[in-house]
Amino acid sequence: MKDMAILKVRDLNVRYGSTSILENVSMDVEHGDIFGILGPNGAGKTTLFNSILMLQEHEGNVSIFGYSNNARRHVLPFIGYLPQRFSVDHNFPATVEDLIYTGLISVRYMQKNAHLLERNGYRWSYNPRLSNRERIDEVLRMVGLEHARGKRIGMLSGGELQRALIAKILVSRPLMLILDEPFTALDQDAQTRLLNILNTLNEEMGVTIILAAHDLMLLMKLAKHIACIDRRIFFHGSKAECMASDLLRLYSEHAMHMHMREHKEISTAGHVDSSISSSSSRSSSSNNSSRSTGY
Amino acid sequence: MLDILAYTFMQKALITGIAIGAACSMLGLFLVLKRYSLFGDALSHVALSGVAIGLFLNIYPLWTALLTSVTASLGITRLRHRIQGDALIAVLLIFGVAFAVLLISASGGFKVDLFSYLFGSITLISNEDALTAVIASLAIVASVLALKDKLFYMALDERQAKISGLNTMLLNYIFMIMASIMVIVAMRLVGILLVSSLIVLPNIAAMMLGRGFKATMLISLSISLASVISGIITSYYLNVATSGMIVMICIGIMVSIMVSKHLNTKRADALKSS
Repeated sequence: MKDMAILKVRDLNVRYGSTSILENVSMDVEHGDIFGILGPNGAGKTTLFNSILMLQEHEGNVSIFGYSNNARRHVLPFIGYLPQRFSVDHNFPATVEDLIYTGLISVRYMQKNAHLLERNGYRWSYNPRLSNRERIDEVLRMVGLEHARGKRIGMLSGGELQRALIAKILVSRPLMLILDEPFTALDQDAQTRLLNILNTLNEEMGVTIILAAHDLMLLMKLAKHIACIDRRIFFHGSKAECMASDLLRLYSEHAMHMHMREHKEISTAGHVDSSISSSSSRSSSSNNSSRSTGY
Repeated sequence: MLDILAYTFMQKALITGIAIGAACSMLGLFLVLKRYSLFGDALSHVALSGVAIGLFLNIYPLWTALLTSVTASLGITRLRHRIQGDALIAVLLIFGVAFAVLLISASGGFKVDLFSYLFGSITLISNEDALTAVIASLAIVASVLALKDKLFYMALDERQAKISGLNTMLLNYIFMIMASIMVIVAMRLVGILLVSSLIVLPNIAAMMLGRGFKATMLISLSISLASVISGIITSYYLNVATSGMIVMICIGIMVSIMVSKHLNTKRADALKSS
């Protein structure tokens, strides 16, 4: 049964009032893939993820592990989701260990529903013999945070918090990861570290990874398939097809538009992040303010 | 010194106080983490109108208070995504007092009864009330212990909790109903006007000390119990209001933790720079 896509999206539409956020989005993600979703800020990447994860009302059909629409609720816990933004007060009384432990709360529910995955040919590699402590140790090692086990999450650096959150989603051994802009707010070292972690997860544990980014160069390092989105899907294909296509050139042309949009958002959010993306795609120019739709 | 423990009313007050203090601090931690610190105040003021209804209709006021506060808490849970939290709390607070004042004036002015609801009267509590309060508090403590991991997950990130398969809507309703019961029970100890104190103060103090979730919960529980026990005993000797004493002791503990933490950080900074 494994030949069917682990995630299938068909004619997904999302509207806020009369504004259309996503239009007829369709895509397939194969088991074991690293699927990159490329698009500028405001392109609807987060909305797409929210729709997949049933956090957002939408029209169209989404199926995960072979379960479509409402039936997919029971298999959602097998997806590890890393939101774009996770804010926590510095005095929130949770250590890294507490945070990771929350990832184990759903295990009983997952154990109950594991047969649903098996029925469709997927295997959940959760080892029931390990103790929770051993599990937490294991993921802490994986992300290189052994030293921070007892540290308050509010006191972690951006990169450490990101890794702690990844450890939290990994602890229940998800089959699929959905990562929303995981490289944003990470410096070069932290980016490389995260790239390595994701590669290892995919190669050694067969975890399917879907990640959104607005930096093509970073995605090219990691992804096997790429989809370009800006309300609609403009391109959907393998990395080789992506290289062969005009995408790179088109992306650079489109980039200044993205650049301007990002700048607008950065200034309103009061959040300056100069560490991300030093790629060539960020050429600056002064006259492009219209919402271009042609890749 | 502890000869006062021979008095039945004192034993009753202490046992009830300890049960209520435990429930308030434990459930209160999640209210504080969810940024619902003033939620207890809103519910208690709505409960005031419930007390007024009871006094007006000659029904046992705690039942009518419970009914109004549960209704209000369910309303908050339903409306919280549409109206912003602090505004909702303000509306309920005002509504509760206004409606209560109307009913009280219509029934011929303030009665002594009402003051015991406003400021608490743990030493005057009846056997039935004490028993109900203890049972309700223990039920809340047991439920919090059973649900603490899930409630913590939801306080940390409700959307993630939902993806993880938790029935967040049901848990929110259960949590809110527990909170409204707790507010009614706590009214007996510190009164409507000070209900939030036991919910908020021990937890804010504990969050300054404890690093992790469990440690914070335990520290908060200890602070709450210490304040309640010493408050009841000292208020007897000083002949002052028990509720005020409990809250002032709790504030005293919180301020001393703040000051000592501040001094410690300063000392550590000085050591680093020298």
